[in-house]
Amino acid sequence: MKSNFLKSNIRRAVIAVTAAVVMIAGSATAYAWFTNQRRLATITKVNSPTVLAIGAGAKESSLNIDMGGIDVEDESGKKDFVFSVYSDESVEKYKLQIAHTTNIDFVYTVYKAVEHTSDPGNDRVEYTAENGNVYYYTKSGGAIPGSYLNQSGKIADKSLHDKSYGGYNRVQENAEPLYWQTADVIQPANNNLSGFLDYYILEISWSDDAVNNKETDMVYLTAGIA
Amino acid sequence: MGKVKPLIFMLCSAIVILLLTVGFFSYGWFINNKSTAGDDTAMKATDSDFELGAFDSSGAFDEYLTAENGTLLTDIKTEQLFSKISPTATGGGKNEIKWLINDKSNFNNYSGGNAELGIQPGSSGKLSFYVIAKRDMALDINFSLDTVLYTADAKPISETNADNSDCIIAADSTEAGLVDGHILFFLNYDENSMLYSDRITDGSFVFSKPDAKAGTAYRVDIYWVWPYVADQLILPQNDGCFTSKEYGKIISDADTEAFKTELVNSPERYFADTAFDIAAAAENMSKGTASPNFNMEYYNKLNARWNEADQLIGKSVGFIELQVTNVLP
Repeated sequence: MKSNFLKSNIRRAVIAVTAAVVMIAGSATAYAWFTNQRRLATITKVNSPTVLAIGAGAKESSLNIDMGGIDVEDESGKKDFVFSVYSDESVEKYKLQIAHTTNIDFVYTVYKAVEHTSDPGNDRVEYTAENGNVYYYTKSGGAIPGSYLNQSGKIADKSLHDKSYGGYNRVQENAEPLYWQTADVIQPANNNLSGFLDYYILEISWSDDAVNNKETDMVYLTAGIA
Repeated sequence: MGKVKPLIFMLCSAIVILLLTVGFFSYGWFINNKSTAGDDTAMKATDSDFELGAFDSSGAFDEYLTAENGTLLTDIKTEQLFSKISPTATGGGKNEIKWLINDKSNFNNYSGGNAELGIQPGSSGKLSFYVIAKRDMALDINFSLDTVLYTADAKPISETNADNSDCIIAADSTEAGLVDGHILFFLNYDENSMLYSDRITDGSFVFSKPDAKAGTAYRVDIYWVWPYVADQLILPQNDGCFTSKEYGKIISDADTEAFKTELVNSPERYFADTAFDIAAAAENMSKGTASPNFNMEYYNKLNARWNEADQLIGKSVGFIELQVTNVLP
């Protein structure tokens, strides 16, 4: 009886020692494994892709840029529209572009603009925001230099036709868009980490020859990172 | 007697395992104890074959890393005659360390000069590290190149912020998939043609040095690019579209063929919205904008989807950690 008791204890002891040794051996293997692993780590910031936006006055949606209802009988011979270029991120430089059809003999000129919350008097463009507040804008400096990329007289030549229409050639000459872009890149005013807001005035002018004949033109304003 | 035999067998087994354990411990001791004496041959069976290192300065965002600072080694020979470097390397019990950077090797995280910090579409650069051989031998190392993404909520490591594990973006998330397809890594770059090659597509690459010499550092370059637009991977190299742009094609036309297949096979790595005919769009684009069959609708659709993916990455990912690790056999 006693002999059986001893054997049982010896068996338990041997099993316990074996289990402990296996555990230690396993740990040692893992230890050796990890000591052979080498790693280098570096980290950087991910910046949001820069987003440029075009808006109306008061940094409102571009849906509010209303260029309809130009009356060429107006003796001033021009009408001004305010628009904005802005970003919530820092932008180093950008370009402005205008594309328009040529049904009406309009001249398109772009000026930098300054915003006023009170009426500065003559030669200002008035913009009524969605909340009813009225903002005023005046031109700052001369016309922004730029040039057409595909102009031939008053209409577009065929140099960029394929880009617009591919192989389609039955396009009426005044429907072929003229492409204009600023000569120099524009550095945003008051640019900082939280972005910038630049205002512009697009002046559309016409000569005495222009007549109200129900023609329409399409005008695209674009701004792109330069 | 019949009952004693199994006991003797178990006891002998335990002794054998114990002897093996002692062997493993000795092995670990040799690896971590740099004062161990012995010539190259004597160290052969027990020592780690190499260390990893890089040199110059800390990255601008290193305070977000949990990896520790490495050990400074001085005047380590390089492959170039008479050229020596002083890298900060693994070893001495430091197995995961911060990857030091300099003006030629960085992840847009070099603070020196007026360098741009952070990456966005259009960013590119090179990251170099050194494999420092510890004995004369043939080195043949499998490396794993991994990215860990964090949200913008990640904070510098401090007493109150032990790590940024709660800011990690899951590896199987949409954003992580898109990062794999938009932030690209290559092993080669040709400065003349300005083309990258040997893309690291599955996160692994091999370093081989058949005749590595003890105490010599061998440089490994990894080129990274976040393309500005999809044009750079799909349009032909000589496409007229590139003439007026500040960017150009970044892979060869031959590699574009393989890339088109990759676009179709793994669309989730490239587009957040994959609901369009990617194969047809890529095939049409790859013929070039001057092709009579060029389809502007395909072009706009593919580019718009590509740009959306860039926007999603930019909006969701605050930081990207890059790790290079040797894969154990």
